[in-house]
Amino acid sequence: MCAIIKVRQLLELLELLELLELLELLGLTHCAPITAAYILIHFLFYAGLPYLLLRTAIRNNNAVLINAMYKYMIDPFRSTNKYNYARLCVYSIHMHFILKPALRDIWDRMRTASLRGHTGRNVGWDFTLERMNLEVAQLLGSNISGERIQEVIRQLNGIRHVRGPALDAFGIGDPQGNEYNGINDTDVSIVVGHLRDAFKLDGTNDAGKLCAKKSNFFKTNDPEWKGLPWTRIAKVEESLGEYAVRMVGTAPQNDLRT
Amino acid sequence: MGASCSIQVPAWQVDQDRDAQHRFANPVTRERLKNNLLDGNYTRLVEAGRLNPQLLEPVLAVIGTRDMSADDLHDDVEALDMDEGVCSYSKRRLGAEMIVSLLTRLRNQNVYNFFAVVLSILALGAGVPVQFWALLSMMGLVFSRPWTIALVRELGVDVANRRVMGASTEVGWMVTDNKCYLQSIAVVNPDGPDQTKKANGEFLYTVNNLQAPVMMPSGIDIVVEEGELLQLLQLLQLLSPSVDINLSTRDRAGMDGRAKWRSAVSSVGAIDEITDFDRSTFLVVMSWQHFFMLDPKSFNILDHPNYDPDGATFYIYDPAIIDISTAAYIENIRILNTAQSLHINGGKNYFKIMFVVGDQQTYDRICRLICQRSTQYEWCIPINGDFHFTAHTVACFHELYFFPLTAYVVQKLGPGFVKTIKADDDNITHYKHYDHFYLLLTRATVRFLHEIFDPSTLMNPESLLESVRDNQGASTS
Repeated sequence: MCAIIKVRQLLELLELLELLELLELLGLTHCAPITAAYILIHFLFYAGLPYLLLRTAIRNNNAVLINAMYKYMIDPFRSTNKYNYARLCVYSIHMHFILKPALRDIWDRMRTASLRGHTGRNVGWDFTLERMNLEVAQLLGSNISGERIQEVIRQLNGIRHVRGPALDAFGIGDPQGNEYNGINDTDVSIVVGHLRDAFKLDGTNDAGKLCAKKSNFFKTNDPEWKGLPWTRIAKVEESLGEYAVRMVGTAPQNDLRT
Repeated sequence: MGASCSIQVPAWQVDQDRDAQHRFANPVTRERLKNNLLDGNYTRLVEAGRLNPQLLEPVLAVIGTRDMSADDLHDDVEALDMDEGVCSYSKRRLGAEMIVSLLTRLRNQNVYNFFAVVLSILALGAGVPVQFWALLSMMGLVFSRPWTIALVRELGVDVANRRVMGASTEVGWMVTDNKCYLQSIAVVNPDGPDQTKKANGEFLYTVNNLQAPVMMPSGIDIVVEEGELLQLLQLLQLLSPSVDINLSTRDRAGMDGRAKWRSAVSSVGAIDEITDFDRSTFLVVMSWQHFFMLDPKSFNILDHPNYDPDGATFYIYDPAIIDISTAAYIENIRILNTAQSLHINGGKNYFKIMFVVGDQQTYDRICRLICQRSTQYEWCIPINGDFHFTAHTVACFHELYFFPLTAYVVQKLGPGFVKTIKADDDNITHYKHYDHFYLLLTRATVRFLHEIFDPSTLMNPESLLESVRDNQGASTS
């Protein structure tokens, strides 16, 4: 009897899964009763704060956290068809793993660069080159030729050597201790205000009201809708392990691979 | 200087030839000037004021120093203080220094005033228009543009060729990326289908490179051993003579090279690192709890971390490679060959190994080339640039959350955001907009939750998610 009930429950579950699949096919999963608070906290937990963590880790020259983010991002990249970046994550972790320890230490130590030597403002190395591109373009002006580019690069090595310490001595330009980040408190208050209004919070028992709120006012009926984030990630067919094995097989490697 | 001028000028700034029209000064004076520019000690910027208090005092009396005495002007450290009063004081101090410097230079044209020299170099870097430069130069405020260009060119060569103390001679570090310059516009089509201006014309493609010395903090350089893998195989053969390791000369050469930077470890370990990654600890402890443990009243989650980089990172711009990009393999071969001739084969350095940082495309191509030509590029360790990774990370989250959340918030925030935060935008040059928006949303959401829940509830994000979930079908996977 017990077995029959379990089989029945299993069948019901399968039916539910089929129904969900059908809704997904019809692009109607966003009609499923997900609460707005769930999506907001989900964003913060799975995307907003990890992204901020990555930015902070780069400013902090923290190779451990940056590498952790490479591992974390494999599935999100795969679920959004960013396959080049998903592969890059695997390659990067693999490269870090197979390097000789002394070289790995150098990579970790030099993971990021500091443009001005100020506290907590390190940048990725490719950003230093973006800066170079910008400086070359600025100094070139509208008179562009191969010869002029080489000449400007020679000059920039001299100008850069003087500019940093001179600006520091003048006390201008991105001074130490300035916490400006482009996000001002007024904008933050506006967003918080919108959220409070949308959730109809008035300062009394807000936690209870937020948890009791059943609707999802973030919901859109856009024809471009591609599904909820966790559904999209879960839909990636190849398992992470299989994918990692397949990608490592194409990465630069040592001959002791088994 | 003495009789001809009562203004005191440091001896090193005076051209001994006393030839006002001499473009480069005599070699000794010029060398001294360059050494002072190269040594990084810019306290000499305010030398004119220090040496001429009789000039400085009247100037300060006119422009005012607020509550600070002229003696305070000699303290350079205070000028960097961000306090508003001191910042204003710093401006006055620099203004006074400029006036005194100008007077010393006008009084005696064969003085290579350090302040004016530095100002001229900054003007060049800032792209001051030629006509305005001529005006400043005529006033004696800055040196002429050709003079300044000649000086920075010499400086640039010195900087690029200087041996950096404490840098590895075995391992190098370079960064490479492409750049496209619009040389001339052929057609401007303002009425394109997407209502945006599109420029057609001649473009010049280049690959720009920079190179950074690898500093060895211990003072002991890394020893790049060759043949570790071969040694291991030979040891294996010694221990188990029955094992037949029959390597061709080419295999041996390749293996010897590969052994330069690779540990004798199995790649399985890297796969395990990925599959065993503790996602929950990463999300809960390293990410969520780290930010929610910061005091919301005194600490902004966007504040800069307390990491001291121990000065600006030193790097040198290498010559560009003209007329190529990074898209094709043949172009990447040229990039690697150029780097090899410059930094591996002795053009400038004799490194045995080099880290090569590039964007995703460059990284991918170089990885493929290393697989194909492992002996030729045995020296190259490819690395992906973390800035591009960051930009694509935010693009990925945008793709995942745009319709479920972002679209609503963008609409609420109005036209300014609606114009910049779009559903489909694969142009990574717009990264700054998305970075700004998602940082704003993240910070606002953190504050929103802080206002609603008590700190202990906020420490457990998974329970929090459960408490607001109202859909049995929703999975957090």
